[in-house]
Amino acid sequence: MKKKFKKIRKIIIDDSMFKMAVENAFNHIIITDPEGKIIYANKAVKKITHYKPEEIIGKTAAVWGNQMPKEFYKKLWRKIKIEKRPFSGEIINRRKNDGQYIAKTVISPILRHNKLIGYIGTEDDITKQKQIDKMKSDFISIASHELRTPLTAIKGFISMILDGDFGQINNNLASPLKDIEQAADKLIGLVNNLLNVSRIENGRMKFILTDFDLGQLTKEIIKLLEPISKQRKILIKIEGRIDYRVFADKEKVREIFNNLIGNALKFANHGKITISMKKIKTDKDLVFIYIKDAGIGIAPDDQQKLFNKFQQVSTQQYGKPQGSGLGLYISKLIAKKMSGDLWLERSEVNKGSTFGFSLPLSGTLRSIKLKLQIKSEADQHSDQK
Amino acid sequence: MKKILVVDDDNNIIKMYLIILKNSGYEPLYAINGKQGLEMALQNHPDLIFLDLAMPVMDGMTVLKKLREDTWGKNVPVIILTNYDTDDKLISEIQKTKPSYYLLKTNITPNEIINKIEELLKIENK
Repeated sequence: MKKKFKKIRKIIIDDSMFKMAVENAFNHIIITDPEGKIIYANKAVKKITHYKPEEIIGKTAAVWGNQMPKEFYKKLWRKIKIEKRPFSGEIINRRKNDGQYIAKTVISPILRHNKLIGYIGTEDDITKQKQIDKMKSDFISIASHELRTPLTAIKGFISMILDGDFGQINNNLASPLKDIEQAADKLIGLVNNLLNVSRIENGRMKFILTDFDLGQLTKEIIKLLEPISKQRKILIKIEGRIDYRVFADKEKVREIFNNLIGNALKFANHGKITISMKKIKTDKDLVFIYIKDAGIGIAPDDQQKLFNKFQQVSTQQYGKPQGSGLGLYISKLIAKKMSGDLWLERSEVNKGSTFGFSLPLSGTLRSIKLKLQIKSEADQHSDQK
Repeated sequence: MKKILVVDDDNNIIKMYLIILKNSGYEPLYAINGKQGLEMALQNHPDLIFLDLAMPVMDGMTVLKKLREDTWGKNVPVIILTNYDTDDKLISEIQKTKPSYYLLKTNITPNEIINKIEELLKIENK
């Protein structure tokens, strides 16, 4: 056994085996010198770029590249040449006989005794995948727009009827009309959420970052939710210190709060909701926010699925599903976009759940990084237009 | 009586706006596509225009641009009432051709629209 293993190992590490493996790899692989001049290109390079090896040996990848803004390549070179770190990202390139394609690209420096002796670059053609993604989100965007038009008319006409625009209405009709109005509002909410998902997934959601008092915002939100919480006989309580200054998009944070407290109100039939905040030792740049309810709780099996798209936890325990199943999914994406996160802290059936989310504190390194990140994304977007 | 022109390709929406405008004491006019809307605007000189964006024959942004090239049309207040999610580029384009305003149809009730009209006509009359 040992003998056989040694034999195989000898074949594998043998030069020709290495070369054969690289030559026949499905991924496009090139090896360059420290200036980026191509020394070697495998078979897949021709398949993706349509250039034969002899057409590109001695030249740089700019032969099929050069489709991105100049600033992009500057940053790329800074990373692989000065920082000597691998680059990974999506790059638009051009095939020999025209036609752009999108490549998932990784370029790694080859270091020998810490001296740069060249690069290895790999590409995966993800054009088709990208097209499908785009079609999917275009579809959502068009469908949502088309849904909104009749919804506008339904909602508008009902509110006019209720306002007496068509004359006094019978008392018996007012109540079912209000039900229709509520249903229309729910549908509009769903359509707006669908559009939000497609916006986030396309990187088209805009973030306006400011420095603000999280405590003040929290109090404001609780006040706005008072009519609902009073009606449901649930007390929303603040526990401990909450006057943290954070760096985030205020309206997006409001959305997260509304979603989490809204869920807590929806699934708790009594008791109270407690909001608390704290800083943690392992990451001093973040503040953690907790929303704890004494509701029906979430079964362990369902906890896994909570943050999936369109996921609705619907069993006898929870009764009829409500909402679109997009709330937590969107909230988590938004929190992550703002350099934080969102999670289920703990939950026990019939005892209640605690959700947590985190945001960057203002003036911290994380908040500065976030600012740069959002800015560079906005720049990249305007470049592509 | 102030004249208000509604340009929209959806029958229900036109009907709805015509009723609220009439009930609130305005004289409503309507057109079912951009080209017709532009012609009616230049002919009837309404005091305010409701303009949809996605329309057959001529889209709303083209109507807006052509209106602003006209001596009368460059000052008429226009409310873009759409269900399209406009991006920043489109919003800044709309703002360039003031006085124009952007409202998302689903987010606004007929009553709020009337309030908005009154507010705008007051500003424009100053």
